[in-house]
Amino acid sequence: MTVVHVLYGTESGNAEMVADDIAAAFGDQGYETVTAELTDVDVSDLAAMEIAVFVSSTYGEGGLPETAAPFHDALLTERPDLSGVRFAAFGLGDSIYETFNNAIETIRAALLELGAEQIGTTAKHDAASTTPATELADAWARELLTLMPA
Amino acid sequence: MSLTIEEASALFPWNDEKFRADPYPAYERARAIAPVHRTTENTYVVLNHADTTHNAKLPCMRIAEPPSFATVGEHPHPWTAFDNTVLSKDAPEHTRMRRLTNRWLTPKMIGTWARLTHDFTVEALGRLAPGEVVDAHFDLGVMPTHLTMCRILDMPVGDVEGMFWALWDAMLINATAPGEGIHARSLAGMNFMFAETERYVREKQTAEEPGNGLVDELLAAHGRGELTWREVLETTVLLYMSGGPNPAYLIGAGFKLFAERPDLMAEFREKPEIRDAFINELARLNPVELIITRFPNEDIEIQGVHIPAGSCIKYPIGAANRDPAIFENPNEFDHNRPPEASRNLTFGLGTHACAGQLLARAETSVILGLIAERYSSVELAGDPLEVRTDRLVAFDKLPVRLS
Repeated sequence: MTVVHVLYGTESGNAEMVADDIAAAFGDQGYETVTAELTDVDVSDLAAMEIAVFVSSTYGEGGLPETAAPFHDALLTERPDLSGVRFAAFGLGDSIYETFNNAIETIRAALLELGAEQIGTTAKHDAASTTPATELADAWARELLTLMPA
Repeated sequence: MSLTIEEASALFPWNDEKFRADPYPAYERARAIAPVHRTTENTYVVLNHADTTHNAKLPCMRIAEPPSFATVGEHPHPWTAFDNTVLSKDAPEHTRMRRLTNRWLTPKMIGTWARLTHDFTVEALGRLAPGEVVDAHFDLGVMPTHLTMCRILDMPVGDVEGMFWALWDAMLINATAPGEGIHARSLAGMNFMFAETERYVREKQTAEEPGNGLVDELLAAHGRGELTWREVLETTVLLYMSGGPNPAYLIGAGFKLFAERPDLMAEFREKPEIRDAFINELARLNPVELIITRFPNEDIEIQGVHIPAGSCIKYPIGAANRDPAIFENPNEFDHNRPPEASRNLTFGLGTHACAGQLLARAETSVILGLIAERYSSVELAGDPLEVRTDRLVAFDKLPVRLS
């Protein structure tokens, strides 16, 4: 059975909540899920993950949230070979800023560069919208499930 | 229609008691003339919800008052006491300071804290004799929420009433046109809060065993040289003082609503699934902070009005929260509004949105939930007494009988 790792970087805890929602959606479909904050993830463990779902907010002027920044730094320094890793990406941001959802793009670019393959589309929640992040997370995760190996 | 500065200024009689008690008709009249008014040489008032939500959180909107607003020879503003906190900082310093508390107030942590509020409220209700009149504001609003904050910080309970009114006094200076003697009164309130808090923090610092609260984390960071003593102290005062007063106003407004509308109290009791939307609507109609103030650091234009960099922009929360372009029947309580017509500015917006808003919402929901579930009615046992400036409101007394 495929284990789905849901890995999040957060400032105020909203990305953590979204990560829990995504894990729940996969759990409901019988997948085993592991949810972890990016500060607790060793980049050398990534290569062994079949499916990793990255969730990240954007902070300030397009920056990575506090708990995602060290992970991203480690990716760029250690440069593990991620071919064979499939990942999905969910971002949280606010469209009032020009750098809307920049952080998930930053993480995505690093993963792709290291050979990982993205499945599904990158979700970008907009705090200026009226859709709760939980609702979008749930709908997006369901869509993602249709792309998962049986 | 173009008004002179004097004509526009007359639309907002900030110090008028009647205006303060009910500014909404005045906002409506002003909005009918224009959505943006220039009320002094360098002050503008923005009235529409859409203009406020778009502009107030633009990165160019700084929170710190530019030096050009200071009067030469005047005493420093009492709120410079908070210059080393999120209240006065813009990014990137704001980010650094905000990160000190973020992990204590995540949606997950709020569940833990709200259970404490629940227990403190149960204890307070347990002490009530049947038919006894209770001050719903202080005893059931300020106390349980203050006690919750004390546990988050790991601080002693302290002189709750003294601190409440010290904060009120300190806030008086933030009125648009504070009167004579207010500077001194505000400063005295501020000094009282800081002295009380500093005493407790020093006690913690010298205690044999460190505590397990947010303040202990700040003190540890100070010990490592990552935070200055002022940063520790100011942040502690800010959190210690925000636990009770602000949520208590929302909670008090809930008690008042339950007394006036038993049907809504019954609905709150019977339908737990509506509680978040209910509290949100309660917040929309009852903001506690009444004006968001920002200073753009570049020229901007709102509704065709050119606003130069360095101006002061006032966004009255009550005007945005009752903008008929967004809220149908804006003065009516309706928790069934669709999501796109329920977003209000009571907890601010953007980077400076209230860090404790999830906590305040959860505490209010817990306390009103307990009241609705344990009692069949809330009855006012006297007129609720409010104190107001154009910037802030609080209950003084809210006597109720629960049966």
